[in-house]
Amino acid sequence: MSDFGTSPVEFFSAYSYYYPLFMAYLWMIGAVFYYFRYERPPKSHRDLPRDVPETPPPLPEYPLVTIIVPCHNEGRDIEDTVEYLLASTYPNFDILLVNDGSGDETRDILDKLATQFANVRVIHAARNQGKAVALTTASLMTSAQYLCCIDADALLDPEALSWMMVHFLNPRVGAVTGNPRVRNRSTLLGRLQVGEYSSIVGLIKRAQRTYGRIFTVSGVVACFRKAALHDVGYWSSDMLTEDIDVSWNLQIRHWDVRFEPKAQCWILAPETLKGLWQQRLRWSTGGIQVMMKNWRIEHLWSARRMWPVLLEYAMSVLWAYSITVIAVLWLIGFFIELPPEYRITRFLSGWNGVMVGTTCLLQVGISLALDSRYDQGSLKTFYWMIWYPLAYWMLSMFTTIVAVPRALLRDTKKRARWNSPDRGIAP
Amino acid sequence: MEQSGPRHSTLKSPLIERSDLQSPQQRTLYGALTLAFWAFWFYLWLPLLALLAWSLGLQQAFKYMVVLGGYHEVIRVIGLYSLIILLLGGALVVWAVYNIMRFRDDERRTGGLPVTPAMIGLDFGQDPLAVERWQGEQRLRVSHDQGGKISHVEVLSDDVHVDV
Repeated sequence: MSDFGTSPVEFFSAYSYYYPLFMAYLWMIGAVFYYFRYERPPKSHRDLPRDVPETPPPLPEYPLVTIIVPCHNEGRDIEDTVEYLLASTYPNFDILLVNDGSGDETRDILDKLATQFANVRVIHAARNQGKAVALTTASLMTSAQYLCCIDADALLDPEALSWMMVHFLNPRVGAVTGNPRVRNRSTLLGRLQVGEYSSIVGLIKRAQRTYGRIFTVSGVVACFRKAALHDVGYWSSDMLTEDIDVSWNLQIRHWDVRFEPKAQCWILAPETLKGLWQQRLRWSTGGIQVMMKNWRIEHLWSARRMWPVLLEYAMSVLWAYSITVIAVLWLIGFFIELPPEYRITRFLSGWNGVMVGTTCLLQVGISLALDSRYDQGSLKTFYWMIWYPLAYWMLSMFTTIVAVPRALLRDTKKRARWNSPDRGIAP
Repeated sequence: MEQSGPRHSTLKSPLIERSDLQSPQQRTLYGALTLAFWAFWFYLWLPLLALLAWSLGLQQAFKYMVVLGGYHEVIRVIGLYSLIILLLGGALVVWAVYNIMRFRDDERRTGGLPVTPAMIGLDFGQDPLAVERWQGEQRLRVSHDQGGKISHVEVLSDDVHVDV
């Protein structure tokens, strides 16, 4: 078993091992608590077969919701996206498509949709402005007091909007994020991310809701109370991850941000290593940007309930550097005789290894139990998943190592613009 | 014009499962990655596998695990880990229950006032009457300045030429 010991190497060695291990258990316990407190179907539904979906409860009123879809070169997917949105069972909504300076056929497709459907509206930005500006512009151009923002390549489940709107009955709620499910499962990377979204993202979001604060809404699908957005000045145009930033701004102003696992949204995940790396590097750099922005004395007291979330993020950054040092020393040890205090003789061996292997198994098993109701096709992808928590931590390590200097060196006023993400293999 | 409405049954399945479309390089790379991670995962289980192997000759297992005290380390690790997990998880659950009890039936916050065109006009330097008009239009063209602020809004006519 690793011990913290007295030398820095012993400390980093122990920290590298214990931090992800115990965080995994914290997520599992938090997620199980969340399930029994908030998510478990009502008694009347429990006796029905598992493939019978639970329906959202009726609301006392159905205020207008504007679904905002920012688009930048989305000609391939936007019609499917709108088709799913039009099938929403929420009775009072319109769709606002924002063409953010696309260079492909997006403009013509959006105009065609606006002529076809009375509840589809279109904004054309004269030049590409970035997602944050597109969202803010659209928010001002609607009288709706509730906004649902989804990515142009995501398919919103017809019941999702109703599930998210239930939360706004509570006046404290400023935002609700849905449950992204990966659509493309053709390659190993696609299948791994199916599991990742449930065994890592789903568990963390549930555990964070148990605590009471979440690190971020999913940018791909989130609903907002407009009064809350107005209170925090809408989206920041200079943040790489506008979703993390707005989540923090809302919670610092004491708005509640919720997660609704029943609000499913089908998303396209990268299926090449390059695409996955670019996506995760952007998330990681954006997360560090937000951490640096909020690490300010004037925020400290009003953000006190965010401290554990901030601390957890800071610890994960420290972990990335810590495990890198240990791995490098371990590898050097094969070629050079290092002094004893720098020598790493064992890397996750003995009973520590069994503990890590068992934890992966437990984590995947619990997430399978929690999520199988929503995504019954996910079961077969779990064969690929047992070791995935290990791969997740490795990816997280590499992206964090690169992201920290990128975030530190980035011009704080520089506008975050769109990049074209990898959307996997298309049939 | 069509109207929106539930068209559940007409929606195509969102899932894309076409492994046949992978390139040979992708197939090879991902196959190798899968193999490597499975091997590493089994490496983690070596002590348990060794224990199982020993168990096949029960005398040896008894000697190593009981007579020579091999079980001490197993019990120590499991006990210590369980204690830490219990403390961490317990703290989270106690905190969650405390908050549920504390804020039950004690909502002091309101949902905020509706955001009106006048409020938007004030914050974004726009004419409230113009904002109200834009909110009712179906097609707009918006220009922004260098800082991303709205500089000009043009209402597009309904007479659209669509060439798709």
